[in-house]
This record gives sequence, C-alpha cells and structure tokens, in this order.
Amino acid sequence: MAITYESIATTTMTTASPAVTFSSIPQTFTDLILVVSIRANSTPTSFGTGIRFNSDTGSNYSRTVLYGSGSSAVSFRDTNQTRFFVSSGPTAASTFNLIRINIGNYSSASIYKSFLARNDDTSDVTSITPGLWRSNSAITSITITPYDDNSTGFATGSSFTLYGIKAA
Amino acid sequence: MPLTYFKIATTTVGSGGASTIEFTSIPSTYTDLVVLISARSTGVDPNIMIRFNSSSSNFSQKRLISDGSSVVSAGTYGEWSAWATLSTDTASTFGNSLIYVSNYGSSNYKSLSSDATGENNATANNMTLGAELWSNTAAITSVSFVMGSSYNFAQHSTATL
Repeated sequence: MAITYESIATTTMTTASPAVTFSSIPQTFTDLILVVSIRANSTPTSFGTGIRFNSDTGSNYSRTVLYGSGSSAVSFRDTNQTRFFVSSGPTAASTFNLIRINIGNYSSASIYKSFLARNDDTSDVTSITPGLWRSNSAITSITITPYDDNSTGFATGSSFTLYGIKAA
Repeated sequence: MPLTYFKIATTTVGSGGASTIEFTSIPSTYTDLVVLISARSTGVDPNIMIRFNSSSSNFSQKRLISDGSSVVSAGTYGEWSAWATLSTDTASTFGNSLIYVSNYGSSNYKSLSSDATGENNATANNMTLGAELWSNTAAITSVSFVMGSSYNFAQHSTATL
C-alpha cells in the first residue's frame, strides 16, 4: 500500500497553551490537512481560533463563511484580515470544537494559497469556510492562536495534528 | 514516516439488503476515526442514524441543509449522521457521506463532523454539513448505522472505517 497520508506532527495539550506552531514543514507533499480539536481554557466573552502562515501578520487573509446555528443559515465575507479566523471554541466541560482544514499546493512559490475549513461545534455552529492567503511564499510554518490573543489559550486535552498528502 | 490512514474494515451489503451496518472491536490505537458511506435506502427515508457502543442516546447536532435552491439550518436531528438515496431516486445512485470522529478513545465527549449528500438526477437534491456531539465519556469501541424509518440498506451499499 502506497503511503500517501502521513502525520507530520501532532501535539496534545497537557497544560493550557496560548498557541501552537508547526514549523519546518517538509515541502515534499502536495497538500496539507490540519485537524484541530480545541476547547477554550476559560470563559472569555469572545473566543475563536486564528491561523497564520509563515508568521505573516499582514492584512493578507480573506474568507467566505457559510454557517448554520441550528436555527438560521448565514453567509458573509471578510477581506484584508490579519489572520484566517475559524471557529468559536466551546467552553462547556468535556466538549471540543473539531476543525479540519485542507490546504492545497502549499509548497508552490507561484500562487496564492487557498484552503477549505470545516468547523463543527454543537455549542455554536457548523460551518464551511474557504480562505485565501495572498502570498506566493511556500508555507513552511502554521501558527494556531486564540482569536483574541488572550493568555487563556487552549485547554488541556486540545489536540493539533498536521498531515501531509503525497501523490501516490 | 508511518502509515497514518489505515483501513480497519469495509462492509458491502449483499442481496436482500441489511438493516444495520456495524463495526465492532475497534482498535484503540488510532487518534481519529473516519467513516465513508455509500448508501441507498430500500424505502423513502434518506436519514442514516449513527450508534456508538450500541447507544442512540446523548447525540446532539447543528446542521446546514441545502437542496440546490435554498439553505437552512436546524438543530433537532439527534443521531442523524449520514445520507442515503431513496428507492424512488434515480436508479443506481447512492448517497455519499463522510463522518470524522476526533479523539474517539478519549474520556471527553466525542465531537463529530459530517458531510453528506444524496446526489441524483432529480430536480432537487439535498446536501448537508453537520456538527455533532456524543455527550458520553466512554471510549468508542463500536460504530453502527441504521436506516431511518426502519428501512434497510440496499444491496451494494458500502461503509468503510
């Protein structure tokens, strides 16, 4: 069996942490898949998850959101953002927010990077969010931080796994 | 690097159909589970219900549903997790569903993500995205699926864990 779906790195929080970074990402795959299971470490009034590539804090991120709250379906756009926003992050005990992000052609030095996020949190919404990072740089690092950059961060038990997909 | 996407088992429904598709004795050695279902119902209910450890209790969800012309959201579907085409849909068509279960062996509640559709050649077709939660701290050792309204899975339906 050809090995086409490989775990590059995985991290599970044993203590609360404000951020997780995957660095030195190998450039040998065709696509990346980031799977995140998170819960807020406290009960902030606004909590979410932001993702940056190569530590870029410029206004180079955009997204189109379609979400369902259980009672309404909503779509909206965000452009010129300083990170890719996804999820709200549940605070209920033992409940984790599941996020899956597919990142295509991440090693290209010729195109902007597009990706597709699925975010599922029964305490908040189910959503699908395509995003764009306006950079021709190959993605060599991914940083996941709380939306508001507060120090409460991600709770113990939150897990982060980066997979690489290789053409068979 | 190790092989990280491993097929545990596949079930293919034979002639006569099947009331249940079940995976038992799931190894505890993985981090996440992914189930792919290709299914057709013998009746006119497209909903496929999931069971963990034979339990149909403590499931909740929020869902987006689109039929090709509008999109709505609902949160009252319990353990509905996948979609099948109907016996009255275009012949030889089967619904497609992907269910992702993270940290299935943990002592926390289990979060699921599901994408499903019953694509066919009719005027309308439903597709859905779902956030699901099984509010149970037990490790998942078995996963089963039953068709809505007590219909069966039609022949050639498949599920892979």
